[in-house]
Amino acid sequence: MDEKITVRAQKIVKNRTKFKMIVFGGLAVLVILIASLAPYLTPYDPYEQDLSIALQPPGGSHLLGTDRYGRDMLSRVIIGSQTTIFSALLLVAVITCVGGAVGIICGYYGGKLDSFLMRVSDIFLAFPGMVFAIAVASVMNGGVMNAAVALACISWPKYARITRSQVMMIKHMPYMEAAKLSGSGTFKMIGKHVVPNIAGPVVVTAVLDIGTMIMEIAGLSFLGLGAAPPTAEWGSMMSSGRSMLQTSPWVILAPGCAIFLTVVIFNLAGDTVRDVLDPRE
Amino acid sequence: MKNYIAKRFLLLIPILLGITLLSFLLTNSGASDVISLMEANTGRVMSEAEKSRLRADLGLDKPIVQQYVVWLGKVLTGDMGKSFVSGKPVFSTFLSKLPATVYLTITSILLTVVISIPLGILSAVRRNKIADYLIRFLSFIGNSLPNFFVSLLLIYFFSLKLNLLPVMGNSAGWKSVILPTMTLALSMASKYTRQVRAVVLEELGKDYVQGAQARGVGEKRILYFSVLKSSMLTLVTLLALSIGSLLGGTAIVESIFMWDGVGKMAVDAITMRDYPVIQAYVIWMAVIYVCVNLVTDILYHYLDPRIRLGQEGA
Repeated sequence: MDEKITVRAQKIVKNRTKFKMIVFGGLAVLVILIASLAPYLTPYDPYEQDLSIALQPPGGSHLLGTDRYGRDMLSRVIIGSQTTIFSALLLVAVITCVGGAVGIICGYYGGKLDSFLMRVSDIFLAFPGMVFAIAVASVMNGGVMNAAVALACISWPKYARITRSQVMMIKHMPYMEAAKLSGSGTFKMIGKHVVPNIAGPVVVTAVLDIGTMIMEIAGLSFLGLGAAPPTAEWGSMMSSGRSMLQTSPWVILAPGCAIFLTVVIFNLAGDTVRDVLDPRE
Repeated sequence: MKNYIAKRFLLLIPILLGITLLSFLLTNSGASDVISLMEANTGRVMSEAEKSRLRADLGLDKPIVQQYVVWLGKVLTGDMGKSFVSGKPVFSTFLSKLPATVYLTITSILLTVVISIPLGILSAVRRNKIADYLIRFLSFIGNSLPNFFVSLLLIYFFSLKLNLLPVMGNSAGWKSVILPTMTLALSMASKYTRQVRAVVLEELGKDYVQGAQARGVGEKRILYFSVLKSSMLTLVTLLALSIGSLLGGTAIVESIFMWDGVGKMAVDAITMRDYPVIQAYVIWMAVIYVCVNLVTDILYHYLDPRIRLGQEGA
């Protein structure tokens, strides 16, 4: 409001955004790298049980302590990142593509197909988030992939909505008319003119959703609807450590902080992506 | 206005049909055979003849469309079948657990309002000052903490370390509601504070504020009598819209704190594979959610004179 918009001020904002992009983007890439190289980074075998060293507090040779079967917590947190982060990333990618495709079809063609698909998305939006995910996951008998499918069911309509409104906004722009008049076919129109022009807001939503999805996948696993116990997954690790909260809180704290830090990093990266692609504020 | 309300109610019908159809298909998708589930749950071995008789009794041998219509008729009369586990009628169980969840929702909303409105306003008024950065930082942290982690942290500090509050159950009176309320309010307040800030900032940027400032009206007077008054409607609407999602989002917190509401009922039902209970939970939570949102929408349209008068004048 009261800040003067000068070339200098704009440059400062731009440089600051660039700096944030490098730092937070770098951190996000680092987290993904850790997740993909997880099997090589664990100091111990995350599944090897040794009851003689069960429930050791953090410090010493086991940096984050051990759980009730004597498994190294650090190794389990590292290997657990794979399940949680990759399923969240895959989930966001899938719902962006599916929701985006539905949105483009609805916005571009309009008519009866549009109203039908929008009514269908209304129905999915009528369920309060986790309620429907819980139902789907419980019918499909758990498993991380099924938890992801359950979350995909409730999340695609949001993307369809955003994409649709974006497509409708640009549909009658002069460049669209020009492209049509110069004889571009439907695929060329969508691929070359629609997608690049609407991608910004959709990508911003997607990146900002990664953190939320990590929390929700972990939440379903916490309820026993995601990863099954022997698999190291942050949510289910916390769930199985619940009874030891009083005596050995690190069993909960380690995966909990891992979720928190990962979500913070992806949210910061998401905020920065928004600043870059959608500089409205 | 009347036309608008009528239209909204008409639109409600296909949505409600869709909700029931989806829930029906979900729990009858063949991923689970009801009869063998009943067998497993009751622990009683049934002969083939008995099974097919039961199937006929439950109408499971009929085509799926017919099953849906019969089932829908029953749902409308409040008959949602019996729990596989307890054998009690599902709908009355749901109704008996609903007040606990509503209670928890109301306390969480109250706490959210008490936290968010002052912080959101402060953050907007002191835009880009230390207070604003601090509040935004805290709301960012609150947004990044999953509620099951918050629950466990609160239990650890308040119940186990400081021994101030009960760990679980809703038996200890008002004390037992504090921790689940704090958990739910934390994530909600984090989101809502941001919304309050955005709404107040937008209002502060309007011309009439500058006009009032130019006329020498005091800053406090502008803030409380003009800005807050005109942004109240949006704030209340945003809050009401989150009631629905809060009602549906209590499941994890309820089950951690052993809060005996519908969320815990659903989580327990999942572990026991008690499908009628899950079905009742999904359908009724969706119906409540849709209705809360609908009422909010209509009230918003009714209370905003620009929309109300504009439509009647046309």
